[in-house]
Amino acid sequence: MAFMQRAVMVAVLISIITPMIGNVIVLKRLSTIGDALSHAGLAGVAIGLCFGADPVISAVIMSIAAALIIEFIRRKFEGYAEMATAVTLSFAVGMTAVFSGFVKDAASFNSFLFGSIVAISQTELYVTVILCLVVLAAGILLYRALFFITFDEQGAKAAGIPVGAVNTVFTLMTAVVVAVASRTVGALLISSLMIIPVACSMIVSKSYLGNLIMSVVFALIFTITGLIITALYDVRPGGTIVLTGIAVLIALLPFKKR
Amino acid sequence: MSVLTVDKLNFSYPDKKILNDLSFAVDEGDFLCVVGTNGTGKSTLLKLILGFLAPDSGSIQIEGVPNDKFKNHGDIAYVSQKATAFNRDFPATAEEIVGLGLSGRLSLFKKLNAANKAQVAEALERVGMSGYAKKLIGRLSGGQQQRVFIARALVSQPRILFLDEPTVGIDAEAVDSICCLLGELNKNGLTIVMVTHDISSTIYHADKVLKISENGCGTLVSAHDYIADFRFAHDRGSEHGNI
Ligand SMILES: Nc1ncnc2c1ncn2[C@@H]1O[C@H](COP(=O)(O)OP(=O)(O)OP(=O)(O)O)[C@@H](O)[C@H]1O
Ligand SMILES: [Mg+2]
Repeated sequence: MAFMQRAVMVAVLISIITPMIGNVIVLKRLSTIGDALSHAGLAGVAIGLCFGADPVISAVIMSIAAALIIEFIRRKFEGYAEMATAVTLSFAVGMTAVFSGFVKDAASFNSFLFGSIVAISQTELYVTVILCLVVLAAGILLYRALFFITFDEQGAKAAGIPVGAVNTVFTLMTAVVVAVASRTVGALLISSLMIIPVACSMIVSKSYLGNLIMSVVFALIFTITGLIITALYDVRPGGTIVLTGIAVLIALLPFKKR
Repeated sequence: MSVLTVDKLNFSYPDKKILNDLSFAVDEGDFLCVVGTNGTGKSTLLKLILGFLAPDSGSIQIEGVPNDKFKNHGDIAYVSQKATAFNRDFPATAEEIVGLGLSGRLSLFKKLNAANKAQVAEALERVGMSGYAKKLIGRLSGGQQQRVFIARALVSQPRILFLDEPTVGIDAEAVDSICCLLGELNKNGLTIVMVTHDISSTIYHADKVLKISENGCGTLVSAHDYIADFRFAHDRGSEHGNI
């Protein structure tokens, strides 16, 4: 497959699943979790490059570890979940700062910072496709459970939903998506791809399901517009996609009712 | 038959003993009001029954099953004291929220079918909120939101309904209509356990009253005796007033 086709396909798949995750984390008031996990992923990349391990694998491991730490701290401070992500983010940035100092191959590290959507290998395409299908299936199957938990965790418990298990599955899913998507859209941008489409969607949507669908639509619009601009003007794709999203959000903000 | 049995229940938070050897039973079809001053542990009692908290000692049985092994989640429903404390911008409609209440009757992955949607519409109808089905929950008034939460509890057609101060912040007329609704549901066989400070509007629908005192002990009296006591205290009070 030609590289541009691969790039478009991966970008489209990622923009379908990131807002699905984003919806839950925004509504749970954990918006910064993407940043914490992607920086933990970066720390993993730095560690991997230092010790000669596969950076993608060490990124996934670090991202999962960070996700579990966040879930652990979050349970200790109910209602102040953002503290858990802030603590983990600082930890990850610290680790990245220390280990990236030992990385010889700066170009390879940079490709994780801003992504390399147009340089995706066949294997990475397969991994992304499988991952997207898994997240899509989980998102559809766990729709009601995740909706209930984000709205009212105690009510969900009373109704017999296995809240702990669903939360853990969701956290792992988030970590894997963040780590893998960092490779393509970049660690610094993945969080915005989770949050901005949801922010736009919350301005226009009139139901939970509508919010979910509209956030995916927005993400697709940003990604495709971003890729077209990239092709026309030879700019970096990741940043262009995010800036397109920000432009749309700014345009929509006046319509937000208080 | 007793559908809820609480036996020698003890519970403390790290710094404070809350419930002290509390025992009582609720029979099928009972309407029990739980009363007591602020901070005596009424909400805590409901949280223990529902399994959110674990007791220090004692047992709780729902439909004859220890509450930590209880699996018929659709048989019980709960309206919490903080039901309306969600984020105002949460994007969900009243009918979507009510639909969540069917979770206790559905397996984890199951979607709502047409029959379920009819149940949702019926539950909204029952609390007089049919016209608001498609409205965002955050755009409703506090009292309207509370009705939606009651609908969410009723939609699974539970056998026992737990409510924690469901009439707080609701206008007098709506309080009456909710209490009448609860009374009517109770006549049709629903067992109700309700924490309330607004005993005067509920007592005529209730069968029993559980009074929890400052030391965490409880006394169970019939609603009839409770009213008689109340009248007695009131009459004595007014005698003094007359002197
Ligand atoms: N998480 C907690 N940790 C420590 N103490 C708590 C906790 N939650 C409640 N308490 C204490 O336990 C006592 C009982 O609380 P509870 O909420 O059960 O009271 P209540 O009877 O429902 O009061 P109200 O009428 O105000 O709703 C209170 O004194 C409260 O300070
Ligand atoms: Mg209370």
